[in-house]
Amino acid sequence: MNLKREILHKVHAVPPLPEVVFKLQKYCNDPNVSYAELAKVIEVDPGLTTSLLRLANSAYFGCEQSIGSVQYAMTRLGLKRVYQIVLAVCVAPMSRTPIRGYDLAPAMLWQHAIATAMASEYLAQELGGADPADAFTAGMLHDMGKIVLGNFVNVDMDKIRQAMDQGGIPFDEAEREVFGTDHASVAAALLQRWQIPARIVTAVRYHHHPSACPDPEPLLDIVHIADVLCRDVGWGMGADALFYRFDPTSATRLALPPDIAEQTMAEVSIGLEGMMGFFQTLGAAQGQPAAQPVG
Amino acid sequence: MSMLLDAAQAQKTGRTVIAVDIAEMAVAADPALVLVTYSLGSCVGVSVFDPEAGVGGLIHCMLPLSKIDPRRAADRPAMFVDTGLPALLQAVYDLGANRRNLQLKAAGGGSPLGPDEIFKIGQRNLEVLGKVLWKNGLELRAQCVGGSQARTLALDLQSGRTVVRTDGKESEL
Repeated sequence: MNLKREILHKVHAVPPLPEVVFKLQKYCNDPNVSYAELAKVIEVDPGLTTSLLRLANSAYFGCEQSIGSVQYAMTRLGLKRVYQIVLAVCVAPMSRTPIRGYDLAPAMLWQHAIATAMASEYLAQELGGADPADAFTAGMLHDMGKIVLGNFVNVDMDKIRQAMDQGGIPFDEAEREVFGTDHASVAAALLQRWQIPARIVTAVRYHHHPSACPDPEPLLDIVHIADVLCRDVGWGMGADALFYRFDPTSATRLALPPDIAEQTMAEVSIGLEGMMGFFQTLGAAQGQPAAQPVG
Repeated sequence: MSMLLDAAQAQKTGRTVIAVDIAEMAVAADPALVLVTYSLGSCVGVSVFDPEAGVGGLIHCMLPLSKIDPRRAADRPAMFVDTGLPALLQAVYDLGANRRNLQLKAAGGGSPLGPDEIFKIGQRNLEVLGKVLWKNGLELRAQCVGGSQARTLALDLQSGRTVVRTDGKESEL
């Protein structure tokens, strides 16, 4: 089996998402869904319910009135927001472990995920063209391929470094040279397995190279810009540091206004502080198994 | 010197590592302390030390100019180079540092690969740093800036030594 096939095979070693995520996703756009019935799907899991209510009442997600029940969270925040929070609670334990191959300390991948989620959502709100909730989800999931490559395949970082140094090429190109694939493509394969909506999978697959996408949507460009900005600041920086190329096509297509980059960074830096605190205790409360390397 | 960047190692030798987060700064006159700031990408870290007074400080600024968000700058001066550096200097003066003795060093100001990045945050952070220093009649003694690497910057308040770590390798600044 060649390395690329072996890597894509390892996508199946990552734990599947709990059924509740798929149920919520399925009903997100259904106007006839009963919140009372759907709330029960979450409430059977007390850990998930506690985490959901804590996050629903956090400064970032919350509203002025305190939220005391799952059904009320759905009414106040909307089903999409609840889906987002449940997805975050389920994915957080996997991305909070150290990612060995990428030299990412514990919680660093998660910090980058949440920062990029917030930056994407802010850009979608400011620029339009994409649903801010989709932008949050795509930003949160864009680097999940690193879990597979870093923990399940055990990336040989020396080979990647050599390829970068010798060819003067960006990190994702070096990944393709060494593995035959890159963390963005691996993330897309994982998200497909998790049945994440196709537009989000596309944004994740091309997030380092938007101009290569045959059918680009503003969501893709937003995630590219958000990732570049969060990496610039150093949120969740690993061995790949800033060794990526900026794709100017995204900035042109979005017609970025002046100062938007700096406003986004300032906005995220404040929001992130509160959020990281919340997630630090989530793993224990939620009782989700963290991703474990299986060979 | 490598032990200074490792909190557990530092504790064994009676030192305490203070981590300076993004958009924060720390100043002290305590030789037991080591000030460290991690993950400098386009952000700029500046260390300042007065060997006579034994006073030092470290700041991690994210953005060049506070005019994009004056309200936040009032609350968090260290977020911006133009408000952060004057705040850092004032804070070390308040602890007894003398302007003539100040040893200033900087790290960070990096950018993604290639010429296409349009935001130029790293480059502009360094430009504004230069301007603020010039206004204050100060100069950098040493710097490790630019490129696409992530950097960690540490200041030892006992010796005044400054260390930069890039790709797992440490060097004295």
